[in-house]
Amino acid sequence: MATFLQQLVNGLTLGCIYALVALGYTLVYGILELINFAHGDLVMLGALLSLSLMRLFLDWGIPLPGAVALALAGAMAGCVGVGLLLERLAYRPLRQAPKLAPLITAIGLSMTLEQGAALIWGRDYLAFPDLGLSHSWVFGGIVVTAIQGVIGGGTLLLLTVLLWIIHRSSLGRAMRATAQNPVAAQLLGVDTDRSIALAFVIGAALAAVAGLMVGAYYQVGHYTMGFMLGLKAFTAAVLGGIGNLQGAVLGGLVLGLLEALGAGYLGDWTHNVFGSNYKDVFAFALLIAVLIFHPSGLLGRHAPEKV
Amino acid sequence: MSVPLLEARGVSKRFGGVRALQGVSLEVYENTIVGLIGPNGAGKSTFFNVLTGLYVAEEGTVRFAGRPLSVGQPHQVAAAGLVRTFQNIRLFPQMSVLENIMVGFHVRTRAGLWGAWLRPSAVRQEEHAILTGAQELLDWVGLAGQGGRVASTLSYGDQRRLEIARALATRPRLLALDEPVAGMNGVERQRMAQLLQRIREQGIALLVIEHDVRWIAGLCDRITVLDYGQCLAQGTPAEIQRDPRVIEAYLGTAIEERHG
Amino acid sequence: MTSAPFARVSLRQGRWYVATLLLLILPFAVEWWLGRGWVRILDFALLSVMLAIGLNIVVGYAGLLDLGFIAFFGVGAYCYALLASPQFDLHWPLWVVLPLGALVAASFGAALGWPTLGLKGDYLAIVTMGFGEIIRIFLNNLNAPVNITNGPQGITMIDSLRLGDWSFARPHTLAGVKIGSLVGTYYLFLLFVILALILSHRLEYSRLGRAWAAIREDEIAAASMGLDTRRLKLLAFAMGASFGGLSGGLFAGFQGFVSPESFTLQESVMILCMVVLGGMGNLRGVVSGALLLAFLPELLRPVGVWQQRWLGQVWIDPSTLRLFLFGVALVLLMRWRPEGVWPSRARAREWHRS
Repeated sequence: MATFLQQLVNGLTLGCIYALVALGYTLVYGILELINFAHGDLVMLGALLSLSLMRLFLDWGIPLPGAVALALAGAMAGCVGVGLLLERLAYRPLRQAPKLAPLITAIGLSMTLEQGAALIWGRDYLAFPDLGLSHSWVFGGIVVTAIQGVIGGGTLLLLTVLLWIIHRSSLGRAMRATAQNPVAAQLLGVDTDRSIALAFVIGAALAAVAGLMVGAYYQVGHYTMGFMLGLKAFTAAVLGGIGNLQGAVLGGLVLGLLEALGAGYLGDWTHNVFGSNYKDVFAFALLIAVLIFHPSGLLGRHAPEKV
Repeated sequence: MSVPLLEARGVSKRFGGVRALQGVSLEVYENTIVGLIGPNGAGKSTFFNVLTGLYVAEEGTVRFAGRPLSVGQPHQVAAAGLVRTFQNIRLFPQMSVLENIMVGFHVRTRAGLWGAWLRPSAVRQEEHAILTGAQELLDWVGLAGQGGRVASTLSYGDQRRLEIARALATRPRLLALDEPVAGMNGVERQRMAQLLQRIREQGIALLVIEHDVRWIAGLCDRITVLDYGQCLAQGTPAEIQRDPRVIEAYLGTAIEERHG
Repeated sequence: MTSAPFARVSLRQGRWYVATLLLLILPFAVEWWLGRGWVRILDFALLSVMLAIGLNIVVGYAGLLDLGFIAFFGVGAYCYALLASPQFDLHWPLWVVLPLGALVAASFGAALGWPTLGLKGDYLAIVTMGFGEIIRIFLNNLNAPVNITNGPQGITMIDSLRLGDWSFARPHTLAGVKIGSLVGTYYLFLLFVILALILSHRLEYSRLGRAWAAIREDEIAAASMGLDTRRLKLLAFAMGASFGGLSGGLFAGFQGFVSPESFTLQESVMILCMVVLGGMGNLRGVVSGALLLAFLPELLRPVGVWQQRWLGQVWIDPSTLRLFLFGVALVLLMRWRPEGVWPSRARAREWHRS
């Protein structure tokens, strides 16, 4: 039972990170019907940027909390800038192009970001600075570390802000209108280009935060770290119903839980034929299963293709 | 009376909370032209999409040539002999005019992987037959000499004709046309009506969606009127034009529009 | 006609003779001018060409984006490696192992396509991308509890390519001409590439090729005309995969060693880049693109050497730079010239409709 609850806590932590990244996929998909393959790599960029900035600020003698805050701000600015560049220079010119074009562009961008990061940061695993969050509490046999608490709390805070932006602010209303019907929104005076750019901005900012969290959680940064994470976050977005914000969060949490429990128990169930080294397969099998049996996801609505 | 070629019974389809079709029934007999009319949003195209397997209806049955139509399998519907055109013309825009028609022959030809690789004489003959068949159809619908052009460069009316030629290449028993004269002027409409009559003379039944009541009344043997996803009336063109409900719901407004 | 027999050879035919002659003497010329290392590079380039021809069937003909294509290459390679190496002490002959590898790869392609081809194109892309990773994870981990793939260490001492008594790993002398092992392998690979080209070309101009083009242009219209789109897409998938598997088998026999490291997403993107650069759907373009990108690492090698010489240290790793340039190239091509550098005419029109 204690193992189960422990895996539950670990899974929720993982799920929070998936949720933040999944939101980026779902925001862009909801408006453009485009899978931004490069989104996972924005998370990597966020992690590596915050890693380098934090080292820099700590070297300057800025105390830890200040260094973290500044690094996070820097990473967010960097990711948002890159996200905007991707949208403006690569995706926007292809809005009317055949479907294959933006997909190939997306994979090209993902490759560019990854290898660009390898050129800057090298191909070695980099140690993430210690945030001093290794302190842990024990509740009835379950260990909860400070970093897990920070990830959980940070995710909650961000979600609240995000939901407020989308559902209460005029910017959010413009975004929702664009997602519903871009042409009508434009006719009614909504700046759809700005709405689309905003989706990329929010997604990139969330990716930066997620990057810092992932880096701090696993205490490591690497130029390929965004790939699997991106794939899983996309799975989470599909699981929850792509295009649906609440769905992305739910999908992220469910996937995190399934994966943690799977990693914890897969070996026992299969008599060690499949161990936790197959946990990546697990998430992926789930993706295929959802796509086949219930492509609209947990909360998504099924929209028939227009004929 | 004989068994109808196409028989739809109580077809219902909803999108979320919107009821697009409610218990729509319709029959098409061999060698007839049936019109399907109704205001915008009455469910005509939705009904077509159900018939041709693109949408799956919640209720109702569709039988074609005495057999139930396979649900959600457009290619099997076409193979069974019910083939359609689209309201917003769906050609293979960057293929040549001739190639578009040749694709239509796909369902009636056999050559597979080994045929493509080894090109035995049977396959070469089949390809030759497809090519000549496509050429004949091209002439037949009045597009002679246009075979080498890129489909999307054809004029609007010619694209409609090409779409019909492509559909005829599948050797249908029933051809379903979604607004074949939309956006056409009087002369073009007349020519299209003549083409459709010639198709019927080939022993192919027709189901035609159209707004223009006069045009369709002059063409069809029977007409079904849809309104708000329901059958409002069915009958001969004369009966339909006299029906007070139809006049109120549809014709009346159309006539007012025309004279106002 | 009483003129000399040469007059019968039309210009077009003459061009073919010249091309054949050039292809036949090419490895000797390369060996003589650039050294044996370049003949090896040429051999690998031919394998890349085969991969690109395979992926072109999927992406170019049928318009399906497959981001895990290298997995089929891996399946073919491991098929050969397991059935012709000391791993299980099996030493099956080439003419069994190669077709079998192609067949297994095709079944993998079909198995992946079966559940996913009903989905929209962008889902397919991400599913294939994940599938490629999954295959790699399995290859990496299938050394326990039963050792099948030997895990990350890979399989070594794979039987060399051999047809009857003729081993492609040894030099031979034929009619007084000494044919080195790499040159012999070149001819073998060239034969396979030409075969792949013929098969692919015949597919393109067949009832199936026409159907694929129709699906690529408008899937709903194609289905409504009676095309079993799912079956046809599955066929394209399996077809492309089998070319990949064949190439993989040759790769395993040529290199004598396979490990999961050779089958990463980067490799899949590289093949995609070959197909896109040359021009999707156009064999001439695909072959040119594949050759160009296969030689790119060699062209970039001096970048490292210069840095070492003038900066005293390699700041920009040439292989990372190569992958970086692949990514940039894909983005730029889609933006400015999506039909590729040597496109087919139909595809060029498709990309430029408004």
